Amino acid sequence: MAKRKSYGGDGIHTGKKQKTNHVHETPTSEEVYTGRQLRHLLTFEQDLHKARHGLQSFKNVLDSIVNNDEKMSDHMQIVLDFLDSSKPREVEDEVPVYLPDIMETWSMASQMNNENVMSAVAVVLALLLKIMSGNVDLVSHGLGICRTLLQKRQQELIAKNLSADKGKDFVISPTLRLLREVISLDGGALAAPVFRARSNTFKSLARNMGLRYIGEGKEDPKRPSVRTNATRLLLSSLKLLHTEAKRELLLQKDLVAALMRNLRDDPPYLIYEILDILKTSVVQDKKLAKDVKIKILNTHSLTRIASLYGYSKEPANVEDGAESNHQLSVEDAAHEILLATCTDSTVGICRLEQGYYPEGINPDAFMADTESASYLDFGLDSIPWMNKFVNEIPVRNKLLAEFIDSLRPWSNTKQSELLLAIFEASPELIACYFIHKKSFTFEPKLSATWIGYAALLYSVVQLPIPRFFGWSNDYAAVPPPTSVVLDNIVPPPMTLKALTKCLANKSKLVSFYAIRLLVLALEKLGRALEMHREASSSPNSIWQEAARRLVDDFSQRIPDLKDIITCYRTLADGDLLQREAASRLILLYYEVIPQVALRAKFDVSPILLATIQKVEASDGEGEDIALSLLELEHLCAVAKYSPGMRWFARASDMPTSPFTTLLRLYTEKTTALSGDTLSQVLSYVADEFQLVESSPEFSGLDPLITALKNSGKIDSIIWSFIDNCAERCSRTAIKYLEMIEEHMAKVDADTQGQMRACPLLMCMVEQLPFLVSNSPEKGILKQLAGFLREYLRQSLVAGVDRTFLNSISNLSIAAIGDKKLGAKITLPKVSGALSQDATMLDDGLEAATLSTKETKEGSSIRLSPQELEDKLAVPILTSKENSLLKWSSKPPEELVEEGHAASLILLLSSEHASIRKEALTNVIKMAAKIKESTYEENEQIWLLLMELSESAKDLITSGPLPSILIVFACRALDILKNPLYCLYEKVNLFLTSGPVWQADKIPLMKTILQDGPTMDGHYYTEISWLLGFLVDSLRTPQDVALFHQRKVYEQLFSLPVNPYMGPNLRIQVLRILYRTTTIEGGSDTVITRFGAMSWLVAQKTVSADDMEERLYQAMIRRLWETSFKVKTQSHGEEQQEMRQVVARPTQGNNSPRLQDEPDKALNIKKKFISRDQIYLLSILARTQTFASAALSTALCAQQRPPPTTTHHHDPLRPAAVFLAVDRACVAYEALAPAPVGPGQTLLKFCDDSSHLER
Amino acid sequence: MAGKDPKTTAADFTSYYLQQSTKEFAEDLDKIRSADDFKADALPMLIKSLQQGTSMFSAADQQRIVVDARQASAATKSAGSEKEST
Repeated sequence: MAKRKSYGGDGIHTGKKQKTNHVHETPTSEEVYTGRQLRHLLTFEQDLHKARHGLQSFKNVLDSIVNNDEKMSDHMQIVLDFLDSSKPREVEDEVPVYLPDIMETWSMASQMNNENVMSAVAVVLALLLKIMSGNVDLVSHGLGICRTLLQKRQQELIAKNLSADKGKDFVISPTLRLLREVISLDGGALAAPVFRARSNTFKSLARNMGLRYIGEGKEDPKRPSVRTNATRLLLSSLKLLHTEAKRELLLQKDLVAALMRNLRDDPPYLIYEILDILKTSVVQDKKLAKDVKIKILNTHSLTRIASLYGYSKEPANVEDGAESNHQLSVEDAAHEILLATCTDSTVGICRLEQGYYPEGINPDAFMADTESASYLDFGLDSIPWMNKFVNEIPVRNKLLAEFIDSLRPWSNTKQSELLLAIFEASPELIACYFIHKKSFTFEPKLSATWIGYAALLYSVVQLPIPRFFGWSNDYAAVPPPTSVVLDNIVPPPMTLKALTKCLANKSKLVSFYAIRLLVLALEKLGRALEMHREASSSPNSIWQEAARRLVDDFSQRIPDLKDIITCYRTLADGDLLQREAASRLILLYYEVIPQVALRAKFDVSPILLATIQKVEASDGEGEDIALSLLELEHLCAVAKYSPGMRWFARASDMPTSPFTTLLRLYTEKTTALSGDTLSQVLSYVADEFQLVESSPEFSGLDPLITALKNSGKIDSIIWSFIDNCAERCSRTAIKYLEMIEEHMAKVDADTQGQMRACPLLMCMVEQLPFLVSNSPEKGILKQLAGFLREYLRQSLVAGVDRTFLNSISNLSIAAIGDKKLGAKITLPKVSGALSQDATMLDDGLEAATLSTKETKEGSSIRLSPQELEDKLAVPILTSKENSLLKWSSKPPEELVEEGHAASLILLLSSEHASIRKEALTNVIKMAAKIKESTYEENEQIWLLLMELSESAKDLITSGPLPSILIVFACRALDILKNPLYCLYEKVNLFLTSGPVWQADKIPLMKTILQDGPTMDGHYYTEISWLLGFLVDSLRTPQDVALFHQRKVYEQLFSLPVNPYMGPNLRIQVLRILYRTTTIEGGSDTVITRFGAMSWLVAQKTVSADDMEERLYQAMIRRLWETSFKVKTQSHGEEQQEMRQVVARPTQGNNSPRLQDEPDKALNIKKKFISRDQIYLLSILARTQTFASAALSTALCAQQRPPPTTTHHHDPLRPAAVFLAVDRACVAYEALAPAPVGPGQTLLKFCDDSSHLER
Repeated sequence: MAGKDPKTTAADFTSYYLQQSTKEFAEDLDKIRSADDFKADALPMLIKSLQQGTSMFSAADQQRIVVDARQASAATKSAGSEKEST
């Protein structure tokens, strides 16, 4: 047997930097060759020196295995043999003890307080377990050892080791390592039991976690400090414990605090480990409740983690090489976990909150009970909490609020990123943050901190407004507190004072930053106002009030527009970004808060002119020109809003007015660069000053713009000519409109309505002779001719009337005087044009030819006004001669039957008071006479006359008796004399219902229209009587007013909707309408109040035969011609629409009819729902009286089978009527901004309306 | 004129914006760099703050400024040089 080789003390403690007073004796050891030898070495010995010798020898074996050296396999065999031989026998009822000798030695050492052995046992066991956990075959044996360690006796030994004095690292660290091995063995099989025994196993853990490396230099990763070992134990537990145990572990406050305390002083590899476990085992553990996570991720911890921002960036990887392969820096790792923790409401600690609504308030509480809802009528101030949150805002994420307060977002981009991410996830924190951050002042100072502040504010203002202001799924009943919304748009540090100072600051950067912030704030305000509009149900709602208050309060917080303008004026030409931003800001003032902007009375023209000149003259880089152009566009848009802008005035230093200069700039220089803004502004101005006639789909200025673009560069003389014409035209647009009318007088009046002309062209032709008389060079004339030719052609393509253009072209040729040049201007002929022209003009020509054809056909079948009168005029009732005296000589029968009574009654409407009085006396006398007579109906006639006189008594003193009463009396007489007449009962009921007739009501109308006929089958007879009665009652403007007031037209217009109503009755309705047109103001009333135009258009389309169709068309013309207000007061566009409707000829036999050919109904639909009709329908749809027209629209668009039952009543039910009106209005709203295809929406509306009837 | 990747356009615009702002604010930027509180982390913050302004420009405007305008000026230049050569 070879001599045992002794090792001299290359022990584990050599080179340890730990400064302790403990004196180490170097352990001895020997080489081990067999398992048997090892077992012998480890046999329990009273002599602890020997025991230590054995343990040290074992350690050498284990080290060799762990280090994988050349003897590794031999040593492994030794260990296996040893383990095999020392395995305890399984004895019933006895807990097996593994490695009993070592445990005995440990116990003995503990009793003797021999720390060297206590340490050595822990070291050896830790190494052994480490090896075992790497070897699947040994795991079960390892578990046995671990269970032995968890036995009471061993637990106490462990506890004693752990609670060794602070300096005894060599005892504590191996024990911690041992425990970590126990916990980790077999995937944490024993983690829970270890944790259950925490009173021993985790003994002094918090203290141990505080035992940092205190030597010089850095902690050596190979010799981890007690803190590192203790922390790793904790981390392993966190990683391997199941949720319930983990929850309990996290509730150990001292451990959590110890983990996080002075995190910043830990070595990078430990920090990575901590952050990694926090992320994977705490934050991302979905089973772990939020309130448990908060135990470890509390404000204190978050602040500690945030303290890692700015952690020294020296790479940890150099020293510990392979141990950490982290891609991220410590800072990034901390940032990542903070982001996950603070912004993710599903896994992190961030809680769902209610955005701009402070915690604890419920804006929908006002909805629930009607009592508080009605109390909303008192406005915003009636909401108790509305003004409460100016200085303090309660939040749900208190923890986060506290945490973000500790960040320094202005000095570190990562921290700023984190803060913004938190704000975005929990918008409730924004206002609260700034309210608490009192030290945060935005007073201008050119320093890094101020720049940081500005950057933060920029990002905060840029944050989106949460959907529905943060309220769950829809807008709440009540808006969020104004102060909170405002603080989100203009954070509190952006005070008026600070902003004004910034603008006035001599540093350009400071004012630039302030301007940018204001731009963002105004844009955000615009969005907030938009959201308020979306949320409000009516113009007077509480949301609208909040919006107004928001604007008011906002205006108090931002500088006056004047300050911005002053700042803008000081900018140099080269300050492109600043100029662009300032002009953008000015424009936003006009767009978002016009009331504030207009107060500044800013005259934009000088600045605009200067900018135009600058852009014209600029020859810098492309980017710079584009930027200047943007500035120019902003200014142009401002000019559009400012009322004082003089578009056509020539400044002294400019050759042309701003309008023409812009036009030139747009067509010559910057076409490629400009967006639509410039052309939009130009078109807007041209329309506004009536230089051109535009339609919603098409700008009247386009032909000129295209012509100028196609003409290439043109001479300045021509530009001044254009400028001069534009200026003249803008000044006296009426003059040129009249000139157009004069020129067009010869053209058939029918086409005039739909004709498109161009005042500017008219003006050019008028001015052309003057230009030519100045005898400019031939080249210029040639250019001019070319331009005019192009302009005329483009106009033709754009749909300007051909006849008009021809006459313009002729005038131009005459003015130029040169035949050769003149020929250039001539418009291409319809047939003989060049092929190129032919294609170019194709559409225009086709349109032109079509329209002439239509006109001819139309006129041939049109009713003349005389014919119309013959058909529809009804003579006005007049009294016979000598009515006052004649009656007295007649017998009672004759009085009634021959009409003497009626004639006398009519005198009550005489314009002479004396006649009226005389007539009244006679009526009373007549009544008396009839009553006393033997005339069969004497009682009723007497009653009628007496009620009439009673009603008239007071009225005739002030003026003629209203026609309605007179005519009713006359008509009722006719009924009373014939008891078999279907209305006999109704009239009698009416007479007995009261002694006096009300002058502001229409007798019998309601009973006839709504109650149905007294006798079956007499519905239409009754209607016919009513229509006759109504037409006679219409004599004066007062009568029209009464009809208006009682909504007679509305009911009349709905009558023909009934498909069973005969043509005669329909004509009777038209007669009433015709009579209305003969009375002053009548046409205006029915057009503007009752949608008569559109009703007629609708009727025309569904009319049964050509005659009726023509009648309707003629009636349309009649209405138009007799309307005064509509013609004179409507705007150009409306007028044009009207004219088109009026001038549209009837379609003759080609017209498809719904009744005859149901399959063509779709065509009718399409034809009927044309742009102009919709327009009319909708502009007239201001009142509910439009209902009938709207519903007839719906009905005619619908292919419905005729109803199976006869309609006795008005087929329109009130609810349906209102709904139809509502739809029509909605359709109008939807159509108004749509440039093309407006019919689509109305078609849909019509389809929907077809359900109304059911 | 389009057809360029929006990301490239945005990057081009940002670089133009930064270039232009350093031109316009050269003096102020120097002052900030010499301020007491200008430390290591301040430079990225300064650049970030300048760069923020690009968000005021819509994608279409960015495209106009850096793509269309460049092409337009290149076209004029080449037209000019052709003239010179002929």
